[in-house]
Amino acid sequence: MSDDQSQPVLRFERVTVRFDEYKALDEVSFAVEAGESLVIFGAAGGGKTVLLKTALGLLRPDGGRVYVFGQDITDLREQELFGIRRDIGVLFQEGGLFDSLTIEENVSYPLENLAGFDCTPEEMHQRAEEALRFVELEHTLEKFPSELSGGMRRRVGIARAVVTEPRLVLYDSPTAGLDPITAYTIIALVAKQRDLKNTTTVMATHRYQDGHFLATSRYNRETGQIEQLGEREGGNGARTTFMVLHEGRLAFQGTLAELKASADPYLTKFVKRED
Amino acid sequence: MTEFLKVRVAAVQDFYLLAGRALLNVVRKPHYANDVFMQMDIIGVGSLPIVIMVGFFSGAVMAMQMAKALAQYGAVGQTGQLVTLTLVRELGPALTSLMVAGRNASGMASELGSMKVTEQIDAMRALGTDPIQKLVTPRLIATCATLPLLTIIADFVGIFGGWVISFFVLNLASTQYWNTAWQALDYADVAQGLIKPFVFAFAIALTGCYFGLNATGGTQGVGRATTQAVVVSSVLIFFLTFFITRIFVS
Repeated sequence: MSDDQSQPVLRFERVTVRFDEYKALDEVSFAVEAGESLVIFGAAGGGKTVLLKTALGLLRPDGGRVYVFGQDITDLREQELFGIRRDIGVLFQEGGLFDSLTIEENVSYPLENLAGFDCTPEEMHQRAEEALRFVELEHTLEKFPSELSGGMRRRVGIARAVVTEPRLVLYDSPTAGLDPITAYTIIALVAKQRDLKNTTTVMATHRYQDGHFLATSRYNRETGQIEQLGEREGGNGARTTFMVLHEGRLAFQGTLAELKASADPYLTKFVKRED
Repeated sequence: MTEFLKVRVAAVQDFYLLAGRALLNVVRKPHYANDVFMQMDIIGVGSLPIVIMVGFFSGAVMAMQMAKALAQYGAVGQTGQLVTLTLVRELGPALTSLMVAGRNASGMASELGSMKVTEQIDAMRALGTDPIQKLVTPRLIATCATLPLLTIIADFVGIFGGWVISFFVLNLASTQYWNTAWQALDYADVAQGLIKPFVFAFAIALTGCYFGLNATGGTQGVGRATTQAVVVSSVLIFFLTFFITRIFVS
């Protein structure tokens, strides 16, 4: 399997995804370099989830090419994709936790099923506990997803996404439907994971403040706190790019400053309303 | 019209692709033996009470109806023979399969449908598991293994139900009932009675899983998938029993 470190971690080349006649993604092109963060804004039905699922190989594009870690995954078979997915963590919009499994089993699921980990049960327990400690839910090991609140389930989803220490993490609307305090906790965890492990992060969201937070905040390893960087030169803002999807088409691609400065009516409405 | 046909043809194609992959996975690694046994428990042991009830009462009703018809020819003594043949050849497999379709095809469709709409199927794929291998193949194996066994039990309980009516209501001698019942059966009847549930098992498991995995549109979609699974698998059972009977009668 080719894995060129100099290549972008994720690259879309004129990708189109159709559902019957409807184009959920229409000739979308972008690239995310290692260690970068990409925030994808868009209203419901704009194509955010479809884009993330296409990046994972869960949906096959009708046109264009998708490259992950430098490898063209567009025509790979499901079994071949498992090798690629080993290095990708994902938090689904609905959480995607398995109802019939305990929280520990949910979190250790990728270690048990993705090829190449070969963990003993003790190692799996240890790593699951560690991942749950990261999201401050280590006391929920024996519980079932139905026993947790929506925000806690989302945090377990993050623990499961990062338990394998992936190089790329995809977050699909991580704060959707959550109250502001829980939403802050979740987005702070996204920033913490990114800055602790230097993970490439792709986050789809409809909330402008989530992207703004990711671009202007940093997790300080020494203090263990999230600190605000503002939008100064050299801060995370420089390593965070923004995209806006509008009905499957790329309406904007650039930095936070460019997004704020944009005079496009759709973007202005989007940014101003959420800011 | 073209669009209507295109959708139907695509659905049939998807169904056959699912069936092919599920069958191929029987010999492919990894094997989820625990899931197979769990499904056998749910489908086999779980369906036992309802299958016994249906078997008993269908045998009893058959005995009453047959005895009335046979009385016109003075052949009430042949009740055991008719009850046994009808049950083993046709009613046992069909009724048992219909019960399992109602109970388990709906269960499979709703369980897999819920998993689909809550993105658990996507999560499974993203986390290194083939959902067909993990979810469909164990259900298919379990249904194919348990449905013929359930049919044997339903047949026996049905014949017993016929004996209860013959002995206590029609006042036939037990030996006469059991002798005519036993002698009526041929190897071809038993083969027919066992091949049918085995074939129906494919229809039930694959239909339930197919509609579950293709559920869309939230809880309403899951409900729709469940209804479709029961309706289509029930119709398929009657359709298949017609063809299998035609082959054996020929």
